[in-house]
Amino acid sequence: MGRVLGICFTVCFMTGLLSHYQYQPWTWLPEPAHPIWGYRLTQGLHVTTGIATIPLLLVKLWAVYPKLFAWPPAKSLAEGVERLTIAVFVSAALVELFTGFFNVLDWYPWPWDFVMVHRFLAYVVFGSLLLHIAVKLPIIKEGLATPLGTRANAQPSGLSRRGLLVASAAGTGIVVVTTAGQTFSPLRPLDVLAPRRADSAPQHVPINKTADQAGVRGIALSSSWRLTVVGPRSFDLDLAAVEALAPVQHHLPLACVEGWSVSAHWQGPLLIDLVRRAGGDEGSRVLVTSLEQYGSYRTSYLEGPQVASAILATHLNGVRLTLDHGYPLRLIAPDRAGVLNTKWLTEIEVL
Amino acid sequence: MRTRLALGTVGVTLLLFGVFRIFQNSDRTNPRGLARWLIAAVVIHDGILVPTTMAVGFVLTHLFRPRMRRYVQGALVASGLIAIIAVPLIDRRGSQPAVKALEQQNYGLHLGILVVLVFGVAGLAYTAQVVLDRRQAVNATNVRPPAAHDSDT
Repeated sequence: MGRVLGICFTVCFMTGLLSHYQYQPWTWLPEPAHPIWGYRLTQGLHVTTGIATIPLLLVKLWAVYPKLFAWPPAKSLAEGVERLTIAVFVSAALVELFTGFFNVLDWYPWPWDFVMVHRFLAYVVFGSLLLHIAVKLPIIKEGLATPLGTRANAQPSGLSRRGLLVASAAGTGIVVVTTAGQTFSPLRPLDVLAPRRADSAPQHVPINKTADQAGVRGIALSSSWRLTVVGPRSFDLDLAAVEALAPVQHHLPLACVEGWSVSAHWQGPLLIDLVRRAGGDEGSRVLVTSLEQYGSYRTSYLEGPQVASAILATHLNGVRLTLDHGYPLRLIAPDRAGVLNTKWLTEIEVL
Repeated sequence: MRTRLALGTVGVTLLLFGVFRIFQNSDRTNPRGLARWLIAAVVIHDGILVPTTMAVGFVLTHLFRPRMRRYVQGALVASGLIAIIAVPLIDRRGSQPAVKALEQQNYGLHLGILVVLVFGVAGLAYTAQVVLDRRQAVNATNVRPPAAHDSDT
């Protein structure tokens, strides 16, 4: 149990760091454009593993609950400090996992910035876990070397250690199988507990923020909409001019930070064509801006390989983008966090 | 010892870094509000959740004989773990616009079906155990006493 939890926390921490990098990459090391499913894999793992860790952690804490009442509370200062760090780990891990899960449900009943606390608390969780492992390493080694069933069973007539492991594995396994379909398409028929289901979404792609939530309905549907491209040779285009540009068609996944992802067929002109026309090239840093007036993701930057491979999508899965999917124009790039594929584009700036 | 020291050093560094960054950005991280949640998490877990499961376990010891109790406990553990994930989904169902395809499923019904499946499998396993135990009991009573020619003396 402990070993599986250790692996889960490590996977969550590492994939979480990779996800954070999507949002704040170093200029000298931009996000790659390949593999196109990179973020789909890492963030799918992050959320699926995080959800699976909730039941696993609860079982582990249940199993060690009697130690909470050990008397005296600490035989030495070192033991006291160690028990304190376990308390830090338990509380931080519970808050980290549950708030992460609630974020997937678009539910924010806490008084702080979720993204920032989720990130910094992850260091507290993983750091205190490493410290706990360092202290308990001899006991962990001994435990791993002991076959199941050879230990004295505290409740011979009740559920055995092996039985508890089987029941926990069954419960956690069912949780994984019934939620992972929101990112791992072969499990889609079984995703009865998945927060998102692509098949019930317009154009078979879920939506994170609707046009009404973004406050862009009127302005996005307006006939006065124009795309402004700013650079050494600035210009602007109306919708007819954008649709007259030579389109490309690609299958690219849209992978959300909240763990759902879906592969879709996108069509529209290449971003790089407009960047070149404005005087930039593949090496340019590009800022795209949405019609949204507010929100953390009304703009996003592209640099490195993603500049050449990004599409300004007008069509999704063979039909015109719906308003909620970003009509009249949205960005879609490979290996890119979903929310950074800015919707309702109005300006492209070549920096 | 070297491994433990290295793990411990990295652990303490990461832990302190996280705490430092939380306090450094206190206008957005709200350390006081966060501290309340951290304490509440332990209090709810250690003070309510675990004692409740132990009370359920205590009731089970009086309701079922040991052999059956193991399977009931196992089914309850598995079902409870599924419910921990399903209950927030049930609570949040329908809270978002339908186009987001978020929390639109009938999670209550799905949880019910999964619990029935878990208890069904546990019931089958229990039945198999009963049959197995009975066969072993019958075999044990049918063991012949050693005959004179069985001996190599």
